[in-house]
Amino acid sequence: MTSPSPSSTRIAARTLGVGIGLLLAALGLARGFITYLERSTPPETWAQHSEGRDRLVGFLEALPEIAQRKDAVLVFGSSLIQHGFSPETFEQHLGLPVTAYNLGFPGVDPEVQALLARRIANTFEKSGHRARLTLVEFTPFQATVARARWQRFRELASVKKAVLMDPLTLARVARRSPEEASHLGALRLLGNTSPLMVKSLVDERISDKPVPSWWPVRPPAFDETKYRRAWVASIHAGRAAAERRNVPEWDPVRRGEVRWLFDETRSEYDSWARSRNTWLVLKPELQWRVASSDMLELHFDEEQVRFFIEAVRALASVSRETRVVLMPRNRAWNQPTPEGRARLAAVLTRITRETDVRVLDLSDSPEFRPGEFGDFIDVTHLNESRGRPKLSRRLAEVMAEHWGIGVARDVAP
Amino acid sequence: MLFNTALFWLFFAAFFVAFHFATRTRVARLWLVVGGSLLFYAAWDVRCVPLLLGTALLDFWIALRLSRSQDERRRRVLLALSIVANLGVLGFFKYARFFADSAYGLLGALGVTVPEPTFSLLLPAGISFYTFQSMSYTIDVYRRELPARERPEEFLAAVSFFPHLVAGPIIRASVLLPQFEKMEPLRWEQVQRGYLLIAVGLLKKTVADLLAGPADALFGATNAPDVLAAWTGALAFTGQIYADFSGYTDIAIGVALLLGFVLPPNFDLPYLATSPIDFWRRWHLSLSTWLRDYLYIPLGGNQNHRYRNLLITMLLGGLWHGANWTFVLWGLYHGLLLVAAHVLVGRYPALKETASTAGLWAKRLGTFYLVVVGWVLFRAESLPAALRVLEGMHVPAAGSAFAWPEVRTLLFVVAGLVLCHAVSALAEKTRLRQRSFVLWPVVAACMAVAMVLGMPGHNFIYFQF
Repeated sequence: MTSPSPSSTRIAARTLGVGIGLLLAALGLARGFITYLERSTPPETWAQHSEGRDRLVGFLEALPEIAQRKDAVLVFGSSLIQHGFSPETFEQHLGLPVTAYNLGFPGVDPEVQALLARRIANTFEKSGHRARLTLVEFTPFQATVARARWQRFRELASVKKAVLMDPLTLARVARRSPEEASHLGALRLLGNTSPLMVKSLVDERISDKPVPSWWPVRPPAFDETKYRRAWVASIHAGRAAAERRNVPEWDPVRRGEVRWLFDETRSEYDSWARSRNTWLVLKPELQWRVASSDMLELHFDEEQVRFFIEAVRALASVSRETRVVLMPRNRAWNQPTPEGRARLAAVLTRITRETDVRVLDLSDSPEFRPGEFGDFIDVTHLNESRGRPKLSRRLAEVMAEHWGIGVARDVAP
Repeated sequence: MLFNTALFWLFFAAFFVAFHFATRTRVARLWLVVGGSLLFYAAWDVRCVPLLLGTALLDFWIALRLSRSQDERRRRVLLALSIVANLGVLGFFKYARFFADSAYGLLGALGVTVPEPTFSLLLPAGISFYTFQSMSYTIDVYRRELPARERPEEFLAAVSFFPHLVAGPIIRASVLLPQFEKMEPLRWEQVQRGYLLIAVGLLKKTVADLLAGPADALFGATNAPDVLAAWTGALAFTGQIYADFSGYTDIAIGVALLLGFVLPPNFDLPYLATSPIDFWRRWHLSLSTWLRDYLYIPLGGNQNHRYRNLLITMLLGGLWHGANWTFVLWGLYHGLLLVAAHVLVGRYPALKETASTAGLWAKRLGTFYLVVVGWVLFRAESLPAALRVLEGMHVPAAGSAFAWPEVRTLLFVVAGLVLCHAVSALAEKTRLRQRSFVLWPVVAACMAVAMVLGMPGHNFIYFQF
């Protein structure tokens, strides 16, 4: 054969056309199924499985407006901030007129934080304003080697990267890892949805189906998971009754705070929180955190630490003042080893040195108490009833002291 | 660059366009195949490329010498050189640590103290596949069954051809070389079959990744499983390994078809086998026929020491899969099954006949059971771990409760197993691909499932071999 025959070339062209058609058809079917799944799932459940994707999208929509404010206080971080900081409480406690925002996002790693921080910085630069204050929370176990290798976390972070990716960043990623760039592109085509999210949602739907009546072995009369889920359902119903509106995941009305605690939900929330504060729940959670994130030994991933430093620098460039915050630690469960503490201290020193931003270390603050009636909802997160207002007030006090102003009379949460 | 990643399909689209539209001559196409395949291979680890090129060029040179020499002694030396070089490379990279660890353990048990081996070697992807492919060329040339190629590009293209490079099927030079020689024009029937196989392969890979959960849960646990968990995990792995490997092979064959090349099938609904002998006529055909032609028959085949030859072949076939005693044990187990089957059929020829449908299904179920037990040996990290699972499968623990969630998982696992066989049968045993109005929706649907539920970047099991 010296050159391809015209008919062969025609077939090849047809093959290519059919391939593109098949790809588009498959993509259409896939997106159609995802849309159906999203529409037929309660928003709270969807939010749980999308792990903050829609919260991020909602925030990005609100960002240009936030960047117009000269009195903005940005409290930036992970789910620890998302659950642990109340802008309203902070504002009420601080004796200065500011507008605070909760920029805590779950399932992010420092690389995503760096991308997000750059986006925030660019938007503020365009507006010509600077934030009054930015608090950047550092979650040590999100910057570990183990965490960077854990497939689920990597995928959750990839979804957020896909949301935040512009062509320039995509090109930069492609230079470093063509595989990752193509994956991010594929996630984008799927509407920033990962198969991992779909699978976990489908799994839950299947497992939620009741035991068929013909199956002879009946389930146990008391099911711990279902018991807790019942509280959650009551809290959702209570919130819907109290709010009387569709509350988006990043709620501009509450400036990013996710609020579940109302008069209508208080007793259910407390019962649910207590039901989670048991050895049976917290022990496996700790083991999972240790396995997936090396929470106690804290072997840091150099690249992730570098990304965090990038994030701090970007945010500091558009803020009049910046602090890195280390969140209160659930001392009953999260007890890093001496080597882990030493590694953390070294990383914090490095962050301060390379960013010129001071660290506000609340990790050992005695006022944050573990236990059934304490301030935490699990091994790492503060609860809404006690921990969240306490932290919000504490941050206000620290800044008020620094600015030489008094704090306002406290308003009960 | 895995077949289930977007990157591979971007690469393939570019390669397809270059192959069909940008190259005008056969030689240009051959060099494009070599270049594209090396690029594909380098995506894993660029350090492995010289090894692939080195072994292939050595075999090319040896084959050339073999074809030009009439001196039988010299020919035998050349063949030995090829075999030693290929098996030496394979042995060094794949088995050096295994043999060192085994020697260390054995000497320790004998009370001899030696330093513990601490070295680690890079395992080049697909080394077991391409060394066998390359070696088959020199053997075929030595046997005068295949003429040696005068120019390297044809042979390099055949050995490194990216669809089958890293996880098979093991394509002998005698299959691909004539196709590279002729470069037949692309036919539309090939395209239809190619797309169908790619879609079915992607669907199977998705099922394999879903089955990985229950399998990993069983084989990763350290406690004794109950009967339901043990069977669920063992069946899940049985489905996973078939879906994963045959899925990869389907995609490889499909991709090759879109380029105009036909690779032979590697599976034929293996879990419908009616005996261990039948199983090996349906499972990983390219390996079993390779072992038959290049090991079993030279050992004496059916003529001399048949059962010994069978055991040696299966033992080495087991070891080919990986550097672990569990693989050796798996090979030995299948060797014993084959010997037992041959003895039984020899003594009771009526066993070959199948009188009724019930009898047929009884044979299938019996064979399937034996195969599942074999997969436990294959998948377990160690012999004690395998025994723990086998005990769980056969000895019900007191108070085992058949709770619905666990039963439901088992049903899903069985459904996955059935689905993988059903789609294979649909793709290869029916006229589906001739009916465009059904074919394209089926292809698009399979691709959509893979997009929605497929785990991007999940490795294929056979890559480690």
